[in-house]
Amino acid sequence: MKNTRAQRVLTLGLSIALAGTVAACGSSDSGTSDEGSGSTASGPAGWRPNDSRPENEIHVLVLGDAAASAEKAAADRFNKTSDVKVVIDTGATAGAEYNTTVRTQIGTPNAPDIFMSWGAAGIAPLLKAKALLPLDDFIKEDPKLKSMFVPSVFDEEVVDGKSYGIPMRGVAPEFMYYNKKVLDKAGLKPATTWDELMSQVQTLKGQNVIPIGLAGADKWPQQIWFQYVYAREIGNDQVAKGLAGDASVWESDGSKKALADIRSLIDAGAFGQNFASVSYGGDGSAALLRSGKSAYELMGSWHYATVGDAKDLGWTTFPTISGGAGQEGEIVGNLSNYYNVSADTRYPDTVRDFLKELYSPDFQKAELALGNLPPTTDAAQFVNSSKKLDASTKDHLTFVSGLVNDAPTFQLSWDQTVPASQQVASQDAAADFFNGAIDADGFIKKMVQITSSK
Amino acid sequence: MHRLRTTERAGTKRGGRPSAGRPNFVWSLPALLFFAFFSVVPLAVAIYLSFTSYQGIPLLPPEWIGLQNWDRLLTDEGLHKAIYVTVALIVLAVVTQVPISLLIGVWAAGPQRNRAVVAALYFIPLLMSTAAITVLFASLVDPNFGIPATLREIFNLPVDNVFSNLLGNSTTALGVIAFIYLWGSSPLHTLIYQAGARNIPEVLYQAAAIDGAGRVRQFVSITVPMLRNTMVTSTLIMVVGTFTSFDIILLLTRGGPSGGTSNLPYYMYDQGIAALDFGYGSAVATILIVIATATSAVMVKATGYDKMAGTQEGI
Repeated sequence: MKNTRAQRVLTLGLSIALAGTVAACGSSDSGTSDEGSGSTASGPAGWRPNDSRPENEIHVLVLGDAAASAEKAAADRFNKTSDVKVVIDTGATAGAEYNTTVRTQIGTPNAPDIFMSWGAAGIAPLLKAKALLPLDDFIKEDPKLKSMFVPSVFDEEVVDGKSYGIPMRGVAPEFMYYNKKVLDKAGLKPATTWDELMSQVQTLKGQNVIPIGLAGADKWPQQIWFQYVYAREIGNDQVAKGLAGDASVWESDGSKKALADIRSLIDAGAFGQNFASVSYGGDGSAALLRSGKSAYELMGSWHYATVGDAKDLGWTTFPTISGGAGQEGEIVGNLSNYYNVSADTRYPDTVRDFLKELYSPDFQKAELALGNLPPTTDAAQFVNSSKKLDASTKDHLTFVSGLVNDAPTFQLSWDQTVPASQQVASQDAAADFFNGAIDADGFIKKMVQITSSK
Repeated sequence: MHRLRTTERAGTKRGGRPSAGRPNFVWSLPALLFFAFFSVVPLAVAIYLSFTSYQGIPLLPPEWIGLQNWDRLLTDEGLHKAIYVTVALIVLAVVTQVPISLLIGVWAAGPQRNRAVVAALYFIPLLMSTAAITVLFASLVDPNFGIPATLREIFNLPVDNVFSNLLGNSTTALGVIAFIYLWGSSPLHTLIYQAGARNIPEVLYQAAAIDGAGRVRQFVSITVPMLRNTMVTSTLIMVVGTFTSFDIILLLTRGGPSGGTSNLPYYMYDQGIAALDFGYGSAVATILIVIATATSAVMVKATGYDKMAGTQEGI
């Protein structure tokens, strides 16, 4: 009999344990989604303090890469004078994993008070969950939180008239890199118009170099070409409408013209025959440019560090296209990262004061030392006065800074602009068009489908 | 536990059944609990999620959407392509790995010392991380700096040749992936065949030799039939393992070109994790589980693996 009793007890234990797991799964779903104690009269709009958060500290979750050192230093400076301490938690190094952490923690007492995002599409689900604090009250108290940043960058995380993100870390526009030696040898100057580029392709092919290097195995490098040719043909404002779901933009004549431009460049052999096997991560396309096996490459400002050897490296704006509706100087690329604030932070005043660190000279200098160009209006002056940077790096950063400050529009990379669920699909569409799996009509159909999904 | 055992023995007063003293239900509890927590519960959650829309934010709990994800599966070309790629990879794995592992395994089973040395070298890939191997192969197949570029120089091939775009064409890309799997996992199967071949009694070969059977005849009529169970086991491991292959694809091709190497596990990752659509990703995962379970069940039944008898009876 003892035997059976033990058995029963254990069976019971097992079922309780199992039921417990299931219940835990269930309760975490419906957990803290409701409002906390309600907003107090003194706090900013939308504030719902969560009193079970740690006392006298705020937590900042940063991406765990090398650039986290600048944020740690900022926290150390801040903590010298603050009673409520800033704790920097370093998260995953990869963006996708970092986002998963934020998504699972948000709304719990363990969630960070401040965390990073990459643009409006990324924070859309968090806004739906009412998890973000609008920062307009902070900006009213300290207008520099907005005015110190390049407007085209700051506006990315303004949703329905409310500001949710303060730009931080580097701004990374995309533009043309080229190998000076290769162009010299072919007797060419960097192409300033599309027609020049088309004719240079033939000359460069005759020199036995790949006219334009392309890391096609990674898919997103193809997308940069669409971003720029569309910006030139129809302008970034139209592109933004199209990405927001206006199908007529994709079906317009300008869109078809842009696709025809890209097709003629591919068919002219500008990218060589084997770009689909070249990767970006494994030093594929960067090595081509460095070693002079390719002449041009369209890439983001991080390419300077990836190529490594700046001896023969040149850079210039993307060629203009005659007859296109785009304004002069429109650019595309990755705007910046943004700091967002949890709606249930316990110490909003501390959060506001810490955010001011992001445009302080000390923080900007620390970012520059890491090779990141801060998205602030006065970044260029720090570039020139920096003693840590060599002449070539200064040239590069000054060019990037000028490009961003003079740009009438700055379109965030398409894969970052479409809903997160469509990111991969948008890269696939670009890659499929390049390798001929879909034609212009197929691309238009895909973009309409991608941008119309919720 | 000790007390439980003695009480069990005391069960003899109820008639001393033959089961007395054998492990009862309680003994299997740790394994059962482990299985329940790490297999049954996640599986149940995945099936539940496949009927919901969920973006991985607990603040926005999974929203019940009925059969929407499943409807989408029916017309999803990407999924159909993924099933084709999965089957193609399995066929490629079996067709290349079985003959090579069998031949090398039987050869390595011989007692000669030089064979032992070669076999030891051959097993090295087993010790290496798949991720490291893949990164290495990625630079080997790079068209401008890898083997294709060298071949072009040595043999003076045209710029556009069969090796120049290995990852840009879905047939050759699948071939490269299958080759890396062959290189990385055939040593394991060789090891299995080597052990199997060493278990074949020498007397069979001696008798065959007396009857005048040559090497090839001995291999076909003795070695292969005697290795039947080994072959079934090894092939089962191969098929089930290839069903879940993912790492090489993620690191080498990211499913490209145009989904040409995106198998079911990669497609599940692409739709569920990368696109943060856990509902649809779970639906793909469920499809993967159903197909993989059905395939291994059919294989087990068809080969008689479930009631496998020794091959040495009567000797």
